[in-house]
Amino acid sequence: LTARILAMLGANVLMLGVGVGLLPALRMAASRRELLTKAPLGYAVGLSVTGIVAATLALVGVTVGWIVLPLMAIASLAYGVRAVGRAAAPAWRWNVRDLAPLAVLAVAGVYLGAMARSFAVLPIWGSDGWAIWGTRAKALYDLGTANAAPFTDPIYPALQHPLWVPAMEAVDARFMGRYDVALIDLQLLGLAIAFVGGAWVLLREHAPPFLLASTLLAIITTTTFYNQLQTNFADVPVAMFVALGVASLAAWLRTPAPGLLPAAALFLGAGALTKNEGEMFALVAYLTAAAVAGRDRLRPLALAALASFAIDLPWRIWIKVNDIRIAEYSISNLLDPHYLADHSDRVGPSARELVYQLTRLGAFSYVVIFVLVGIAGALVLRRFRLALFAAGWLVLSFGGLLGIYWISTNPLRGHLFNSSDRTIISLVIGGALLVPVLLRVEREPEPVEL
Amino acid sequence: VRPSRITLQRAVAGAATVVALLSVLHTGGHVWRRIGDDYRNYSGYTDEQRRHAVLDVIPLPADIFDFYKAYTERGDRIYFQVMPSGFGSWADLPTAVATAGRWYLLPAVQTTNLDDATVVISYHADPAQLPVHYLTQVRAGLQPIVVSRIRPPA
Repeated sequence: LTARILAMLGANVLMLGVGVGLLPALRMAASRRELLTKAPLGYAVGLSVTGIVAATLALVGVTVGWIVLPLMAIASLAYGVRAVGRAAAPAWRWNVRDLAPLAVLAVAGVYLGAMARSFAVLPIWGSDGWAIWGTRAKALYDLGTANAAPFTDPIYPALQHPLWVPAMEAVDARFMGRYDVALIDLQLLGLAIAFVGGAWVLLREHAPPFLLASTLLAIITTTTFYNQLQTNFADVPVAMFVALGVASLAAWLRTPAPGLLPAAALFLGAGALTKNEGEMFALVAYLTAAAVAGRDRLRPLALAALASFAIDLPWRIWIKVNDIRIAEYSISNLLDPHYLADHSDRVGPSARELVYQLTRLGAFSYVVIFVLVGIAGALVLRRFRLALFAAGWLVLSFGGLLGIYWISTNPLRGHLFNSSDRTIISLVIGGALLVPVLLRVEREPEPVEL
Repeated sequence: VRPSRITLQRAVAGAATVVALLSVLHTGGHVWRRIGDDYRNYSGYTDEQRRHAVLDVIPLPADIFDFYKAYTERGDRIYFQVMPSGFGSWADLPTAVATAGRWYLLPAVQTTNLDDATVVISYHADPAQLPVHYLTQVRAGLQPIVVSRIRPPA
């Protein structure tokens, strides 16, 4: 057991190397010192990129394991060190006020450490966790390719789901020498650690640090976060990617600092490659950002959207080539007024159930209230552009989820019962991570608002 | 920026921080206890118990699936022959067995086309009822639990 944990840890150290080396390319680090101090963000980047590469190569039958991953890490680190050269790092400024947010982050670390201990012994047993995600991951490990029955034969469920989670777990299984049903979900916890560390490094200069740290702690201490992450479902992973993406986008809308737009492109792309809803959340984020960004910023925004799309494109091509169809619904029905009218009786119950799930204090504690306070606070501070982006993304994303329930051919009661508590996680975590960015304390004159 | 403006920004950020910390207080203790309970409940599991956890939850007999696994391998395409029966609110018996088999018996994969199958897995069903010639057959004791090989794995 210990050997397998060490093997998985080794894989994650290599993923960290992949990410740290890429930080200069993403304009997130400019010196060797920053390569070290921004390592938590490097870990988030490394997990994203490794999963994207592994999921994409799986489409052509190439596996990422003991050979490819170390090569990726070495190449990336060599590039990163060379790219920053001997550039001088900004002087390190220690401030006693950093202690409070770091103490909150330490508490978050204690929770994540306890979760790691629990995840290491918990077998995956939640239905979709093994029947869909586990089977796909195990199949990628066992068969080494997505061009096999578990990914192409309609007798296997959820063929439309993209491969980021299965591909990452298959990488770990190759390092461990087997698909370990107890340890494998530690990779999703690794993503949670990367989420907390990455969000902190990425956003601390664009948000009140204590509020940012408190937000991250509030997210990981919701009952839903722990309960859902251990199931091996992809809903919390996609939520974390989407949250990092939309928060980066919001920070960029406020201050176009280097690294924010590349971060948005990467994390939204990774979200799109994690679960189908991720594509919708990313699309809505870019459309909402375009609506509030102003004409002079549309070009870089479009380039970021294209980058996210490029991450998703090989999967979309593979889906088309293999004629994989979504069994439960056809997107074209969203544009068919007759179909929508015939199924309009699904809208009310779906909306009520989604709102009910959002307002369950036992699931998300006060995090939804926190999001509403954040948007209201942005309006009080007359940050209309940001408030519009946050509210627009949340409302349109909610509408997107509602649209899927509307056109789904699944019996409504069972469909809502099985999924409504999970599909809204991205709205909660994404909305929460927007709040610290909305409520940044500006010492300089504020950027021109709408 | 005017001092009053900074004060307002700080007040709003402070209010949001209070809500975030109240949220932590509301569920943090419960989540902490839940994490501890999960560790205590599962830390005593053996490797075998963890492998069988999915089957135990469904519930389907794990020893039967271990029997199937012993006689299937990489390259096999499995045709599941299962006694028609109800099972639970989420599936009938054939669906439950096939779903568990797709997970547990990997790297062997499922097929619904008998002509394409390399092996038939029978669960409380008689393989002789299928119109196919078998190379070998292994039965689990006296139970109608049988692995019938049609051809070698592809």
